[in-house]
Amino acid sequence: MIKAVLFKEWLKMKWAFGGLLALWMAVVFYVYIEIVHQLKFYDASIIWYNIVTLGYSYYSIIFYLPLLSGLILGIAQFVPEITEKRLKLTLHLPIKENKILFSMISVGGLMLFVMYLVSLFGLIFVSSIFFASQITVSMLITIIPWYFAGVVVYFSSAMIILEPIWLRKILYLPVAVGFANLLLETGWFNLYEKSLVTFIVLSLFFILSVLITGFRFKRGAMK
Amino acid sequence: MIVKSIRYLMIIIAVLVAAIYIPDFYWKIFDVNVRVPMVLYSPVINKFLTLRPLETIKYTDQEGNKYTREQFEQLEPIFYYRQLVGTNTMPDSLRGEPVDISLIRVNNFRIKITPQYLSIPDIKLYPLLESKSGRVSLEMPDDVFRITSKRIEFIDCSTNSIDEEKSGRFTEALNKEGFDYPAKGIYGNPTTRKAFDEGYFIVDNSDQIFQLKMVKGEPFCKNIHAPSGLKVKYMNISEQVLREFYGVIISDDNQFYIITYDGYKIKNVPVNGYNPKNTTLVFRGDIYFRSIQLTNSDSLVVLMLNKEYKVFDRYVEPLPNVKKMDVGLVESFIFPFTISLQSPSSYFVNFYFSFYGFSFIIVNILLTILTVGIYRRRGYEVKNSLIDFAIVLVTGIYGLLAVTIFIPFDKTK
Repeated sequence: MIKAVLFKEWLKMKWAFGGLLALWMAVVFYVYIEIVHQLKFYDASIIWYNIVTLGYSYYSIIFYLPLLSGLILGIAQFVPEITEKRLKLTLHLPIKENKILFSMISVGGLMLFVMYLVSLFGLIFVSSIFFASQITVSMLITIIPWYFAGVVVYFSSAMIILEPIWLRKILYLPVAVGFANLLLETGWFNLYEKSLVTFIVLSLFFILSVLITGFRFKRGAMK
Repeated sequence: MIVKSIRYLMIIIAVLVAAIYIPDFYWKIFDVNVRVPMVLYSPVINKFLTLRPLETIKYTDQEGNKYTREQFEQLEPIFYYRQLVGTNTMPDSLRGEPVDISLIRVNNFRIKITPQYLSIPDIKLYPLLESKSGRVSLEMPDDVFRITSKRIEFIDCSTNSIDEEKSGRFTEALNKEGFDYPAKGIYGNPTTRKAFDEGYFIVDNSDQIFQLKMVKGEPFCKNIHAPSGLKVKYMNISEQVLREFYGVIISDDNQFYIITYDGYKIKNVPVNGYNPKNTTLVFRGDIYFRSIQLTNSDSLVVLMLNKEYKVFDRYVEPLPNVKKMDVGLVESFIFPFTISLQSPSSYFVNFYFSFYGFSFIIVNILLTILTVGIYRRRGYEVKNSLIDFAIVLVTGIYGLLAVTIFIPFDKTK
């Protein structure tokens, strides 16, 4: 039965997943050609200087991509569930509702994870071609919070979209958006160097937030 | 029950989010601009003068005499020398000596150290400029260096590979002076927009200080033999045409030093209980005096020093502290604590908590009673909701919002 649920999720999301993965790869490639392009006009030492001393980030195009990925996956997966009350059917299958919801978010979570892994490998590879490890590490410390903003958006979208009561949806929204926004401070590199672990742990709190909604749904919450 | 614990995780998130955004909104609406005056010492009348740009009486001295802008500038001919020269109103002589504009220009310097400078993200790669190229202006090198736990490495930027030959030569030069790897701090001024280059001042693992620069492609490395016991918290290296000092040091025990050109002698400059964590220091110099200006949320202090760095006059002005005004007091009543992602003492993003005493406890107790009332009316079991009440009691308005957003599951009908 779980297998069937997983297959259903795949059917819903395959286009979103494929499209996003292609977009990620295109963006990583863009980061590469952008550096190559810059190198035609400036000495490598000038680019290094701009990065290290002036805070130029050759990877800033990544900024909204994790958010976009989390949002699109969330919409593709959960909006179909609330139209024509499909979730009600899903949750009436003879499996515990937590287990069903958990398998659902595992699918989306795994897709997000695959995109993240592919893009991180790509970015580390590209960065290491041109720059010293100190610069690549700085890139990672700088972009990881953006990635976790995407994690927050995806998992909270499950909680918000599936929530049956509109008032709750509206109340959950500022908590999720407000927290995701905390991960998006910009202006300089390595800003989250000292707080990265705290932010990651807090972001992971959102993973199971959909179970709150599932529980309320099952109970037939009215407010 | 798992869902119950997840609800509490989300409540933690909601409390954090509320404690960040609500005080932020509060201060956006009620913030007060504390106007810090500019304080200058007049070499003409030997008094402190203050400039308050946003007030109706802008130009005064410490005794309250008022001046026009032109009079004020006449009393500060060194500070405003470009304006006075441009309008042909520069006096011919000052303090019994003829005025020499080029000397004025050479002697002026200003070094500012804010608390944030001591805690700032960096990428530990440094361009080492050629300090004696024979060219008029400095040029950026094609490589950068880093100091590992064993040696100094130069990385060629265009090939992204280590220049073993150069790294070897410079490592040898550091070893010769007794460098203990790795480096605790590397301080320099990597820019080509300066008159000359003094390279970097590097603190090694045993707290010794070294100067490293490149002279005609060769390493110039010198252990400056700083007094033992001097632990560097921060250094600001800035090449001044005056060539009086290489830069300044703030030590771990909050003392302020200059590294002089006189055989790297480390000279203590009195700074009057300076705390770099919350105080901005401005070190200024001109042809006659040196000055140290210390500004924090409570006061503005200006110390005037002669060129031997002995204090001869001081100016103290208490500043209105926003936290002690009505808006600050109200804040301490309604918010049990506030969280900010930014801090005036660090560039890093973090959860910076602020507490303002326990005045909030009254409001929190009232909010808790309110919560109990709401729970009763909605028909929740009061004795099953004790954790919720404890959350409101401790986190006040934030907690109330959090438990209102993520309502209990009991009797979710």
